[in-house]
Amino acid sequence: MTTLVLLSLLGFLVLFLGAFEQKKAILPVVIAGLSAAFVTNALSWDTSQTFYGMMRYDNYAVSFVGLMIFSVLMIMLLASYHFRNEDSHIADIYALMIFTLVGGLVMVSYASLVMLFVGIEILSIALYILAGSRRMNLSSNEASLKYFLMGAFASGFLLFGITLMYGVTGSFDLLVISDYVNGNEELPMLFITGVLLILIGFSFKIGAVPFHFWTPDVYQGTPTLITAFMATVVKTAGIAAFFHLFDICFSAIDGVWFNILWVIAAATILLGNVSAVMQNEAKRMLAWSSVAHAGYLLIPVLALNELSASAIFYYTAAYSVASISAFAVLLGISQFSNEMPVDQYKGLAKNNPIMTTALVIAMFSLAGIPPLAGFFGKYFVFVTAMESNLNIAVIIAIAGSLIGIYYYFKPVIFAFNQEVPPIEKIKGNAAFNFVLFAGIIISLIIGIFPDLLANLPGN
Amino acid sequence: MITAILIAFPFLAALLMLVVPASKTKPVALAATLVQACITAWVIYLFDIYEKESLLANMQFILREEWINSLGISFFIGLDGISLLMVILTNFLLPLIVLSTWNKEIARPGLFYFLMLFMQSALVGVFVSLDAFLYYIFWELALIPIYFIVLLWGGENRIKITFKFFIYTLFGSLLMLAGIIWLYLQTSDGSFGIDSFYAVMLDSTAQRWIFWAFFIAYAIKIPLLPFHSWQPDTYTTAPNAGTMLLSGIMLKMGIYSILRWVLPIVPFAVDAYTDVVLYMAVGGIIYASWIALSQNDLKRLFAWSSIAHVGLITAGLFTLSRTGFQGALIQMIAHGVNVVGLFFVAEVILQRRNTSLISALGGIRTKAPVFASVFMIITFASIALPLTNGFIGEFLLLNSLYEYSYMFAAFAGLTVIFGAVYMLRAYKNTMLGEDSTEGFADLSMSEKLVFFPIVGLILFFGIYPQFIFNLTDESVKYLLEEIANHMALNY
Repeated sequence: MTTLVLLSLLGFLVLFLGAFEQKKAILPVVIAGLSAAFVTNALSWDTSQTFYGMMRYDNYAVSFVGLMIFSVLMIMLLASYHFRNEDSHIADIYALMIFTLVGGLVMVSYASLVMLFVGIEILSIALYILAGSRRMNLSSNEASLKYFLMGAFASGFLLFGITLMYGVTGSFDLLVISDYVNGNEELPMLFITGVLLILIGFSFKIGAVPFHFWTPDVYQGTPTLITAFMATVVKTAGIAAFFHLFDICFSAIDGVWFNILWVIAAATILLGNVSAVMQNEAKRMLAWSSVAHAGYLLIPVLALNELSASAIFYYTAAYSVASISAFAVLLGISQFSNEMPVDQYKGLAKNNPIMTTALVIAMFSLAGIPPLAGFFGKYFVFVTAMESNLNIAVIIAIAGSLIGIYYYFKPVIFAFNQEVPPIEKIKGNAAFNFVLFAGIIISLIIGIFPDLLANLPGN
Repeated sequence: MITAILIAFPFLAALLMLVVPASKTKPVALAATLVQACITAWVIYLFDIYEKESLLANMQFILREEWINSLGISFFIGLDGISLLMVILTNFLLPLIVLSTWNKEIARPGLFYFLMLFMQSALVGVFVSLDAFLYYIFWELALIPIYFIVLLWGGENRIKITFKFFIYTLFGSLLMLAGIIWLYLQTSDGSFGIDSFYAVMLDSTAQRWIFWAFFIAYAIKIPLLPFHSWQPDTYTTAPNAGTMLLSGIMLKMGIYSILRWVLPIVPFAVDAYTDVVLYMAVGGIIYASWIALSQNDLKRLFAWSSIAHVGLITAGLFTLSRTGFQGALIQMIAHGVNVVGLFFVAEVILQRRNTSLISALGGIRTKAPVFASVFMIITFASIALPLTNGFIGEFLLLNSLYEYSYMFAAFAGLTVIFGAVYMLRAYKNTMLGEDSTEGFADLSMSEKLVFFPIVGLILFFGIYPQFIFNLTDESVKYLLEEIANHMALNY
C-alpha cells in the first residue's frame, strides 16, 4: 500500500515540477522516488496484507511490482538519453509512465474484479496518451488511435465478462467467485460466457492471436521508448493479472477454457514467430517477437500448476531485461529517425563493442540460448508444461524457438557485417551506458544463477 | 577440483585474450593451450586405471556442488576413462590447432582466440559433466563460439551456411532438452545427476521416444546419413582452425554422448533400433565414400571421408560389444588426430597455391619432400594401414560388426577399399607427377611443429594402442554391465 501511495504521489510531484519549469530536478526526483518505491515494495515481503477485500499485497504482487519498478527505472534512464535535446513535455511523459506503473501495480495485486478493471484502465489510459506522445508525427497519432480503439474493445469485453460474473455470483470478490465455482457442479451458461469474455479481453491486452493484429502497427508508430515500455511493463502486468485470475477462480473449470486457450497459445507462438521472420523493420520484428513471447507465457497459464507462477515471473523478468537492452541498442542506432530497417545494424560491431555485446546478449537471450536468462525462462516454461503433460505444446514451443533463431540472429549477423562502412562510434551518456551494462550483467547473472529469482512469487 | 580447473583454465585464458594486445595474442593463446595440455598430462598421471568401486566404476576427481537447488541441478563433474580420453584428445589437439594458425594473418585475433579457448572450455565441460542439465549447457555453449568462428572468419556464403548449421544443431539440441526434462521428471529423487538418470526404469514406449529425442541430436552432430547435409558446406567454408575444431573434436561430442547418455539409459530402445541405426551408419559409409570418390576439392574430399569414418564408429558402438566400444574409442582418437592432419595439409596447400582443387595441383613432392612424406603418413593412417593409428580401431570396429551380422560388416568393409581409392588418388594427383607451376616452399618451422606431433601420435597409437585399452577398459566393462543389468531387470 505504501508503494501505491508513494508512486501516485511521485507522479503528481513530477507533474508539478514540470509545471514550475524545474526540468533539471525531474530525473533525479523520478529515480529517487522509484528507488524508494522499490525499497518499500521489498519491505512488504512476506507481510501479505489485504486491504478491505480490494487488494491483496502478497509475495506474488511484491515480486511482479518489483520487476515492473525495475523495468520502469531502466526505461527512465534511457529516457534521459532519448530526450537529452528535447525540452517540451518531458514531465508529462515521465508522470504518465509512473501512472502506468500504478495501474500495473493494481493489476497484479487485485482481490476484486473491480480493482482489476480499475487497474487496467489506469494503465491503458496513460498508455494511449504515451503512444501518441510525438504529437507532430502522423504514425504516432495513428498508433495512439489504433491502440485506443483496440484497448477500448478489450476493456469492453472484459467489463462485460465481469458484469456477467457479478450477475451470477453476486460478488466481485475473487474468493467468493472461487467458492462459487468450487461449490457448484453445474455452472450457468451466463457464467461460462463471462469466463470466455474475460479470456478474450486479456488476450487483447497481451496481444495473443487472434487478438494481436494491433501490435505491429502500434509498436511501430509509438516512439521507441514507449514501445520498450509496452513490450515489458505492460506485458508483465497483463500476463500476471491473467494468471492471477485464472489461478484463483477458474482452475476448477479448466474444461471450459483449456482448449480455447491451448489453441490461442499455439497459434500465438507459431504466427508470432513466422511473421517476425518476414519483417524488414526492426521495431515490427520486435513487435511480432513480443507476440510470440506472449504465446510462450500462455503455456504456464494453461498448465496451471504449482510451478506456473514462478515460470511466468522468471520468464517475464528475463524477457524484460533482454527487451530493454534490445530497445536501448535500437534507440542508440536510430537516434531520432523513424525509419528502422533491420539492416541499420550493419557494421555496428567495429566501433561499438559494448553496444554490440549488449545486442548479442539480448538477442541470444530472447532466442533462448543457454546459459542466458531467456534460456532458463523457456526451460521453466517447458518444465511447467511437461509437469501437466502438455507435451505437444512443448513441441510447438520448440518449433517456435527454432524459427525465432532466424530473426534474432539477423541483427547479430548484420552487426558483424564487414562489407559496409562501419558505423561511427555512437556516444551515449552515462545513463545509457549503464542500461547497456546492466542488461548484459543481469542477463548473465540470472541466467547462471536462476535460483535468485526462480522461487520469488511463491506457490 | 582438478576437473574444475580443466574447465576453468581455458575459460580464464579466453578472457585474457580480450585484453592482451593484438600482436601478443598468438603466443599467449599457444602458451595457454600448452599449460592446459600439461595439466591434462598431470591428470593422466594422477588417474588410477584400476579403480572400480567409485561411481560408474572408475569415475574420479568428482566434484558435486549445489547449483540450482530448486530444480535439482548441481555442478557435478568427474572423469572416468572414457571422459579422460576425450579430454586428452581435446587438450592435446588444441595447441596444434592454435599453432596451425601461426603463419596466418587473422583479423581481430583477440576475438578469434577468445572464441577458440572458450570453445575448449565448453568441450571439456561436455566431456566431464555428470549432471544432465550441466551437460546440456556445455553442449550448447560449445556451439556458440564455433558459430561465430565460421560466421566471422569463414569463406564464401558463410552467412547461409552457418545459419543452416546452427538451426540444424539447435533443432537436435532442443529435442534433447525436452528428453532431458522428461527424464528428470521421472527420476525418483528429482535430480539431474547421472546416477539418478541411470536408475530410471522406463517402459519400452517411453524408451523409444527418449531414444529418438537424444539420438537425433547426436546424429546431427556426428553426422549420420539423413542429417549430414550441413557438414560438407560448413567444413569447407569454415576457417581452417574452425574445421579442425569441428571435425577433430566437436563431432566426438555426439559419439561420446551416445556412450554416456543413450546406451545405459534406454538400452531396450537401443536394442530395438540397432538395425535402423546400422542402416543409417553403413548407408552413410557407402554414400559418403561414393561421393568422396568424385570430389575435386581437397577440403570437401576430407569432409566426406570424415562422414564415412564416423559412420563406422557409430556402427561399432551399436553392436553393444566390448570390441565395438573399444574400437570406437580408439578410432575416435585416431580420427581426431588424422583429420586435423588432413585439414592442415589442405591449409598448407591452400596458403601456397591459393587453391585446394586437386585438378589444379600436382608434383608437389619434388619441391617439398618433407611435406609430401608427412602427407603420405597421414594418408596411410587415414586408410588404416597396419602400424598406423587407423588400423587397430577400424579392425576392431569391423570385427564387432562381423560378430553382429556379416552383411553389415561386408558393406562397412567397403570403406577400407573406397578410402584407399580416393585418398591415394588425391595423394597421387597432388603430390606426384609433373609440376607445371611455380615453386612450393617446404614446411616452415611452425608447420613442422604441427605435423611432427601428429605423425608421432599416429605411430604411437598405431604401435601401442594398449594405452587406450588400459585407460578405458574399466569404464567400458561397467557400461556393458549396466546395459545388461537394465535389460535383465526390465524385460
